Amino acid sequence: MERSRLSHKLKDFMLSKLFTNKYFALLVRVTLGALFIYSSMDKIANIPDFAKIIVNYKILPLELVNLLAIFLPWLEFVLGLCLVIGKFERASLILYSAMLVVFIIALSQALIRGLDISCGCFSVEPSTTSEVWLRIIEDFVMLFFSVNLYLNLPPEEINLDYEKDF
Amino acid sequence: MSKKTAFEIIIILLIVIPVGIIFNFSNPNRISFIGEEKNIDFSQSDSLMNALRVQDSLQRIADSLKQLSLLREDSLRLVQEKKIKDSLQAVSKQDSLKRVGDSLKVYKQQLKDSIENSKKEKEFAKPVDIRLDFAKALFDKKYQFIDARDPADFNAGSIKGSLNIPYHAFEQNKFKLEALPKDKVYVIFCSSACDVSIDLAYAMGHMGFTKVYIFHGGWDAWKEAGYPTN
Repeated sequence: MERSRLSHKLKDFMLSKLFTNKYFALLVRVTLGALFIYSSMDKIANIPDFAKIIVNYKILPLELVNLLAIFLPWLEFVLGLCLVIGKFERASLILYSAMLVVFIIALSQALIRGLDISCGCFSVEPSTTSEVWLRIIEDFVMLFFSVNLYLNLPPEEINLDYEKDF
Repeated sequence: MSKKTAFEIIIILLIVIPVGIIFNFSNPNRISFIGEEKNIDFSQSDSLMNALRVQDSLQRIADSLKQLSLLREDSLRLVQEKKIKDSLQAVSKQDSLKRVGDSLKVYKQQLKDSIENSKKEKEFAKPVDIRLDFAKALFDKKYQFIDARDPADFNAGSIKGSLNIPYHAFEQNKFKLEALPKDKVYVIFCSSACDVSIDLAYAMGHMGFTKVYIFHGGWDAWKEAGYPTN
């Protein structure tokens, strides 16, 4: 009884009614996807600058910085594309949310440590401290939408043949 | 998470990896897959520091010699004044015309040299990486320090007398740099863990500044050393 009431409260908080609406969910999914595609463009075009931005965060060993600079923008692009076209929705939303959590942690630690960083969020252009704050808020908003979208996806169709394969 | 979702995640990653590799190989701005340690060359800083020490000791010797020579100067001056008087009397009209011609030649040569120098100034001069000790020596010699951090950080505390030109707003602050003489010494710094000082120093080098120093260690090292602050 108590658990059920709690679950209802959580669902109300997560705006489940809104996210189960087909058109609203589509709008959110496409918007989230488009944002990731847009943010990946400048990084893909300027990989060396993006690598420099990652170095400034000072959370990764230098050996791994270039690998991240090469693959992260493409991961953003592919996830964005998957969300826009509606392919691999669950997987995309899980990876999308995980990436946002990582971004929030990276930005927050940089702010706490007082590092002079360029965010490298939507472009490789320099950004100010106040812009970094804004990016953290934006990431939280995006995280809220992606998590809600994931939690309110229609249940997976059970494909018995598929299950047998595993 | 179902097996299907896990499988989809693997597919996404398998798409991303070859695309990233192929794009990086075909990209003219490609980077190596393994990052390398950035080498900061302090060799120039060390030799400059030694040169500065030699200069200081030479200055001290020169000062003491000057004091000694002052004693002799009075007697020498009297002799010189007499010589000048004699030579002025000996100078004829033709000699003075020749001298005017010579001085014109010298003036033309100086003009030519200054034009060549101004051309040279426009060429890129690589900024020099320096440590705290040399930065302090330059501070003592009253050279201009430039803080490349954001105004909020600058207002919270900075090296005494430094100028704030945030690299994050470089274009808006370019006019401040354009107003500065390009042949003077400038020491650029930020906090210890940052690259904006390097970026600003190189941007200044491309603008034609010839004596730009990057103070590695920056505000944090300065504050820790207890040197003068705003």
